[in-house]
Amino acid sequence: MATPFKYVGRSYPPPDASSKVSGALVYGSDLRLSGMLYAQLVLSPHAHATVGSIDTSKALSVPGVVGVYSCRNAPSTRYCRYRIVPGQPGCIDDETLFAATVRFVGDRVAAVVASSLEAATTAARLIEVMYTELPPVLSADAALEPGAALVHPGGNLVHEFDHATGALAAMPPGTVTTFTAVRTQMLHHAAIEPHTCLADFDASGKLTIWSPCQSVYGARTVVADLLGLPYNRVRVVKVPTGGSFGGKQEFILEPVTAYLAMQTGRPVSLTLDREECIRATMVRPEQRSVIRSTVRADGVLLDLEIETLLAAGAYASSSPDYAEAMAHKLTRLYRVRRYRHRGRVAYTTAPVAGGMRGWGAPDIATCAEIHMDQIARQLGMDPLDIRLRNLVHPGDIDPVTGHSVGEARVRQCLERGAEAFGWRDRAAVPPGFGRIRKAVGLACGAHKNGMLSDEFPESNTMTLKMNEDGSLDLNASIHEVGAGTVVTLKIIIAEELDVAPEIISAREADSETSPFDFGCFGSRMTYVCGANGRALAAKLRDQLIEAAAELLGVSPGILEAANGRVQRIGGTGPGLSYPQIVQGSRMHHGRDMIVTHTYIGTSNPGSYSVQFAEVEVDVLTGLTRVTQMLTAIDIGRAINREMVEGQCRGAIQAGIGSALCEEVVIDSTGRAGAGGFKSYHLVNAADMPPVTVLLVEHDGDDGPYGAKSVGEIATVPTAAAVVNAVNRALGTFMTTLPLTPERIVAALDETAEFGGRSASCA
Amino acid sequence: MRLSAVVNGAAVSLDIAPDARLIDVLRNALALTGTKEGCAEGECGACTVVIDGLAINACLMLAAQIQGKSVLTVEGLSRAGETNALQKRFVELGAIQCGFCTPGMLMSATALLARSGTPSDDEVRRALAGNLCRCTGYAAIIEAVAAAADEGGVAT
Amino acid sequence: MRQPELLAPRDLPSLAAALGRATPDSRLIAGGTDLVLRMRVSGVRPDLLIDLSGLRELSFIRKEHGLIRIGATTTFAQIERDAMLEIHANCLVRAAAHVGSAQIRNVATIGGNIANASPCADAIPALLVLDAQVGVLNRAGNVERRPLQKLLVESGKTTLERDEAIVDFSFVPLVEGQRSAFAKIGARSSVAVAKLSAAMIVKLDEAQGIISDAKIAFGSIAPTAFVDDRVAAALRGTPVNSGAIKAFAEACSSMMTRSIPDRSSLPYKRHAVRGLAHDLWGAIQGARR
Repeated sequence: MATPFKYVGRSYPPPDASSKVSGALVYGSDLRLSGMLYAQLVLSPHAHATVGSIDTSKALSVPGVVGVYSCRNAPSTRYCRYRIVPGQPGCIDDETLFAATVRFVGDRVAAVVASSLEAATTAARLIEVMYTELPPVLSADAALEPGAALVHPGGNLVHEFDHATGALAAMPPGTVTTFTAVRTQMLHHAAIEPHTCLADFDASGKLTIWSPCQSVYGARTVVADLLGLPYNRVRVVKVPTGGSFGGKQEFILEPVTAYLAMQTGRPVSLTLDREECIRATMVRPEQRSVIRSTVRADGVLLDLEIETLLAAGAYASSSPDYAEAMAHKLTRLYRVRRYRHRGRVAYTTAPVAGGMRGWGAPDIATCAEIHMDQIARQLGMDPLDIRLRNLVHPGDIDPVTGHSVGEARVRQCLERGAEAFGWRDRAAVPPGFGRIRKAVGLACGAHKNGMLSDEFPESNTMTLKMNEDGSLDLNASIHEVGAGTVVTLKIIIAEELDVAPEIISAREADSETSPFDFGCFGSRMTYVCGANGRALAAKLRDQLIEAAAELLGVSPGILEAANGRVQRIGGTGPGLSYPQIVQGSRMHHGRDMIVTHTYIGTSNPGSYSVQFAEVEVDVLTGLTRVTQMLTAIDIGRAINREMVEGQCRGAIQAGIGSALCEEVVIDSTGRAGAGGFKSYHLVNAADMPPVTVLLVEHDGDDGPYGAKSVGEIATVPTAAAVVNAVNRALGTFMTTLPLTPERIVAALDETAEFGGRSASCA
Repeated sequence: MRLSAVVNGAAVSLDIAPDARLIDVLRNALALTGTKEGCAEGECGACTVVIDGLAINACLMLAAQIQGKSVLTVEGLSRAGETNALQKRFVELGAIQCGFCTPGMLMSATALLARSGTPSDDEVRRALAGNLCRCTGYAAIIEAVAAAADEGGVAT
Repeated sequence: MRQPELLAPRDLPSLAAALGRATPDSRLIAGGTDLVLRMRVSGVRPDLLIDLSGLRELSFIRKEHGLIRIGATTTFAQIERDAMLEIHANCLVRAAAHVGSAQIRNVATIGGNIANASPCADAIPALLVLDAQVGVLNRAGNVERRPLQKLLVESGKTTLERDEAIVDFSFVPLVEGQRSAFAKIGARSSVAVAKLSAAMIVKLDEAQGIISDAKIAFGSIAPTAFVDDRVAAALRGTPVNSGAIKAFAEACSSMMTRSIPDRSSLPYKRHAVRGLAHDLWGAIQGARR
């Protein structure tokens, strides 16, 4: 594919690809330190109970056991697993290392540390805990009923908001009001690598944590504050991550692992198994939203009002911000005269909710896009046309944030995507009356580029140095979660300096040595950190030019840098290679080629995706096959083409799963995740449909070379596109995800009862 | 009990508990951490190894059951530090993102290509149906396996 | 907890001897896909593990004396690929192809599938309609043949004693005029536990174009798979054309309501079983036995 750049826009494997295929790459649970101990957690079997006596005598007598820890001997200091910086607003300190009152099945009760995992696991089973059960509170609705048991003393309402923007002078005649209630389900992030952490508290009193986290500085803040250590005595090293999708963004294992290391004075390794990952780390929250809109007779949105109720689970963590994020998405996508979004977040005695890829955008897009299809049906409009009536235009101001949506090319995504997919023709084909009903659906989604808002500044600091042989070292708090962040930065720097990306060395974040970055979340890596990478490389190039000018005895204004050299503009006369400049500058002028730059974020435009799905639904078994997907992404500029496409495909795998088969089910006792992957089904290689990726590259925003984010936006509209297709195939109006075979059959039986198109077939 | 087997072409002999899982012996006793544990229940395939030409989940096999057998792990695919054609195609065709499913995918593909030099697209998908990936959406992986097949497969 | 002892018999006499040492805390292991998981989850260590995976003597598929005999440690991968079974016991081959993933099929054995006795065991409905006899070895070294249905007690339990082991399955191969089918409905199209499964054998009167005899067994419904005579009766005498499928599907749906009247999954299963019926019906239209 053609690109106007030398490096940007081509395809690159991740720099550690060869160690991934050889099996040599060391992930967190592969680390082995001398004297290392293994930890095993004891988790609550009850959804809500007070912890009484804990008999550890049998556990302590298992050979190899070094210690057993619980609320009886560990500090009860409260902390927030979501905090990154001190004083961060919206952080509720409601969690402790070990619970004295357990608040969900999976809450940490105790930990055993032993010389082998076998000994730790054996001992963990021998710990006898007496519980006094309390009434469980298994849904947000139940939590907010008067008389509901209190999950925390302060009440079950964690957060509420009411944001309204815009106004309507008067309602024109002939408007149509539509009402939709949608429920999106609890999801498991399902990174193939389980959660893991290693910590060591050495003889000098320095704590080191190796974690596949998304923010080393956040882990440092939470752990140092909790354990009362100075920030420079806590070092957090980012180790390779086998996928996260937000599941490793919050500090779940770091505090307890660090505590165990401090207590034992030896390295402690803690790795969870799959059931523990599903039950006892974090889940995407269950939420219900009710949408009421009023449109003009021609489909133009006038008034959009939403009420969201979100279940935070046992601890507040990121749920207040997550719910707020849901209220900050739709006005980036559609022009609306008046928008009101009310939200409530409730504690439940259920797994702790946390951010998952898209951070509320997929959740609210699912609600909104099912709603838009419903409006279209009511007006007898093509779903494509109702979107065209209302999608934002470039430069529109998002009334909720007051920020420009920037180069919002969502219309192009819709139009080009629809043409490539053949939407008009395919949407006109009726599903028929056979056993297999086939239909197409579409959905739009919006997300963002970084965290910049009135409440949150955006910045990133990095250092880049060039060695005497021209090779480069980038020192930055990079958090690679598998989305190609490291190589993206290298490509950007390579393009700016006109050197091959392979000569740039970049290690991942180390809170001791790499300058501050908030972390890998909020779709900020390319747009903010990448922008800094470009500015940083430009700064180094300027330094090289200045140094060359000094060495050559000319004015820097007549020099330019290209192809690894600095010489006169136009290419005539003597020049110097980069290595010559580095060496010469050091030996003659005592100067190093090293720059540090802090980039301050200036904008937060929208990222957009429009997706088209074709499905075949078996009206007898209720099984749905997605037979094709097309995704159009307003990427601005693809830095690493194959990684952008790969991210789109992985995002669709997750979106289809959330539409059709993924759900963390809580049984009547409040237990989640039983059966691990046997019950929690991901889309596998056999079921994955062919995916066409269409990139709309229209630059102009502040990202490096015009690039915008992809990892999260790519999964925002997927579930809605699939759900819309299924509803169109069956003539149903299902709004509770996932659309399992059971739900589909129930909807078909209900439709048949009321004389609709039935499930019977010849 | 004493286990004697061949792992990646080298004879090994070590004391194991009779009920030790193969994955634990590989990762701990033999320090071959390329084989990953993703679920401990034979659903994700991250622990796939090849025994007597068959792709098998090491998390569901007792180490005792490889007595006298020959096991191939991801570390055994490279020869003298050089990756093989299948590994190279994975790198070149975008089949790798976080990399955690990669060893298992390579081993399932290795077993498939040893048995069937020119698998159809459906056969590749079926062979990989027990290997979960959350990053790539599978397409690049399937393409890499097909490309390696076109080149004449891989020796095990 | 003490380490278990492990015995890996290489022939039937040593297997019999090993069985003689078994206690209620002892376990047989073949493929290990059920047992290794259960041991990890429960944390219980058997006192004795009898490893059958090295018993080559029990890994076979043969036609002898007018019967097909399959050794207990034959894997589902081997069954799936067997050309002779494809022709003479197609429903069993289709069942084998539906077990788990390639990794599971490569080690999971037919003997283990039956001995583990999950209500959803994929091989059981097929073996039931084939009227399979189960060869059971005891500590004395004698092999007794029992009908499969007699072995099945309840979910996870067979009538096998601690000192007994399944060594083979035998049945009469399907003949000209007979067609067999297997169908399964899971939560997804592959690598899924069955929510519904069934195997069927019909005998066709080619001249008249009708089903002259039928046998059908259902799995994943009751604690053990079962043969259903009423559904089979509904099939007898019906023409092998698309018109008759409706009656067959309805008979299956009625069977579901009859079998699990109080189960919360009834609304789904009595509807979805029609899909199972259509799949079975479609399979017997083909030429395969």
